[in-house]
Amino acid sequence: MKFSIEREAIHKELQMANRVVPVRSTLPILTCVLLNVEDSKLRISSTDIEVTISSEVDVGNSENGSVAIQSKLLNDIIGVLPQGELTLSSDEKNFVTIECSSGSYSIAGKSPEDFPAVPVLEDGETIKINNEMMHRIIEKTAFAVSADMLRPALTGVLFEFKDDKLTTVATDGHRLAKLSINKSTGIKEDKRIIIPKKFLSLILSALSGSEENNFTVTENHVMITLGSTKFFTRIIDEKYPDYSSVIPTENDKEINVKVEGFLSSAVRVSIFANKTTQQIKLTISNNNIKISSADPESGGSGSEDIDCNYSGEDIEIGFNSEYLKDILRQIDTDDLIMTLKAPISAGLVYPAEQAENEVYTILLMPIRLTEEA
Amino acid sequence: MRRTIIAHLDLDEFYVAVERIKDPSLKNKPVVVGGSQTGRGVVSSASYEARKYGIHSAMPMYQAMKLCPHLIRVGGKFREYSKYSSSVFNIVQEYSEFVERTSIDEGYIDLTDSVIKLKRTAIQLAEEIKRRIDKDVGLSVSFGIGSNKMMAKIASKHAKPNGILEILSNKEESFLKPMNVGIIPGVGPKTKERLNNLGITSIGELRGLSEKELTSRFGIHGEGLYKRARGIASSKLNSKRERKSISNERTFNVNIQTPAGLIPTITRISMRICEQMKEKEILARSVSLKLRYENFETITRTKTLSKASRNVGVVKSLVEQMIHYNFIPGRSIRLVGVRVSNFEPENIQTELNFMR
Repeated sequence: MKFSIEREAIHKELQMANRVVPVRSTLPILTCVLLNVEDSKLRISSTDIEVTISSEVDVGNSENGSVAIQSKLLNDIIGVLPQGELTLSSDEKNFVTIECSSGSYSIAGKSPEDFPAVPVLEDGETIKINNEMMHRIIEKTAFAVSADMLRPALTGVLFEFKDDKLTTVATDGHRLAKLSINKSTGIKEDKRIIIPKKFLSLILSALSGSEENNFTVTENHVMITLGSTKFFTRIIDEKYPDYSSVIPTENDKEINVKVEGFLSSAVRVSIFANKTTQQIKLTISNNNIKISSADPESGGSGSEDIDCNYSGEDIEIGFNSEYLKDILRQIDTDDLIMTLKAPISAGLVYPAEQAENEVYTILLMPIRLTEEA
Repeated sequence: MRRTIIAHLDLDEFYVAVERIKDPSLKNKPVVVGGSQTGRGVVSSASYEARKYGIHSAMPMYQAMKLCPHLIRVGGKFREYSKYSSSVFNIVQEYSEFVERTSIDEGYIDLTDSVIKLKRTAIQLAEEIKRRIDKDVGLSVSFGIGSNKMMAKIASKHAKPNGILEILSNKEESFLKPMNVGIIPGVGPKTKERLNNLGITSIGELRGLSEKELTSRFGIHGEGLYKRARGIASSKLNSKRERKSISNERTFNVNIQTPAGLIPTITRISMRICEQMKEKEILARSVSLKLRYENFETITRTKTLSKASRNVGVVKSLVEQMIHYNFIPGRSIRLVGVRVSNFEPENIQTELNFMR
């Protein structure tokens, strides 16, 4: 195998590829990237078995062939080479040589046969999703994904295609974020798939511009194509809990409040919350929210009052301040609407004005208030 | 300086007594609680009538049945026992705010302040508590009173059954002197044997050894032995005694040959343990499995959770995993047990329904 390429061009691809490479693995080959040259095209692949990245760049001076190379080592050297063209070649013993203006370097590579095959997707359905929308979906839901490996279904975001529309949901049991997009996706079949958070974070960092990406779904995989790079992931093969049954419909106490003021008060007051419970108390009465916290362990406490629009009966409710801040940061309108029912039932938060063609809902479970706050 | 007064409360043949409240026909008969009719498992509690046959708790059931063929065995309704125990300690707490419950049927009460506040002697208080427990709960109890926990406990052992014994502080040394060294808390069969080998059987003889001699032979325990032989021990009560673990196990009537055969029992045990955690408002981070093979070889394995839980499904699935890894084909299982430990206070964060 042999090819020549501008350092910049290959470095960018290798950095992306390296993002899925596991630091250590029971399968040592996974710490490598696979380089494969065919007809003046270099394909760079990396995988952790669950998630795979495969990208393609044009190369010159090429001879077909492939080799696997330690991803970190290759990134380390390519990252510090001078600008300009480099030539990389490998022999039949997988011995790799890199030549460029600064000198030449050798790496013992590995047999490409040991590298897991890049998934081949058959019988899939492909739709186009706008990059901006994809970005928004991930940003608005992924924060609520659970890290608990004992509930694998909750470690990803649910993409529910129903009647051609898409609803995305994430929850860790304490909070739930749901973004429904009221626009035709062009998908023919209803589908419920759970996409791992790791994959979505990767996509989020690779997304740019407002182009459309190809979103391909098969029985076991999802593939998103961005430019010449394909991102594959296995779908989490679990049943997602019935999220719609837990979203309350009878929250009769509606509060309208400025997001910025609410968030900055929450940030200040939460500094005095107990470090274990992160408990913060909202006392909501006529057009006023009192935000307070107290930590008997440290002896500290904080309290602020902010204006709101509320005329219902007084209510006191406790939340984990970290969760509350996370949620307030997701609301990008000036005002938000919070609806509550009782101190120990789920609260809902919406932007005061929903963006065009979407309905964004966040649910937050309260903390049972203890005496201290 | 005020004299410290500690009382040790010990419910008489507790499990049997509760069973007799539920079924009075069991009175005056040799009764044991625990094990199974087929002669497996062990005796948890034996009535005084049964004890006459040499039956004692922790004795294998088949042995007990051999000693007394007309022995009546009743099932362990442990949740029921726990209720009775709580009623007893609720009464006790009216008399002192310093109460240490050491087990389901035993505990210490610090009466130092109570005698002044309630203007009665320790004996009078013990009599009154005893009467209340008899009248309100229907259980018989024995009290030992002394200047520290050790003396109180030794006294209650002598007061049993249905009695009260106070060891006055100036009589402690002479009271202890003729006693067998085995009565000292912390002197188990091993230490006792080592002492016997030195020709020491009574506490009086133990006092003959200097502190230096004892430490050179028994290490740090030597110092404790020296003190306890002289009636010196802690009187500090651990009022909020925290439980370190909750466990439950079961001996099978017929050995189980496959992992699948263990599942119904695992499910039942896990449910019971999780219920107990719920009552105590705690979550556990560690789950352990105990397996005893047909040849009595016993193993325990522990797994730790990333997040504390008391979800039956979580506990069960961890136990199942451990069974899977540790089941040896061709072997069979005589006993299975589950223990949860590493407790955290209940999360006050509420959860969506599907998490439960």
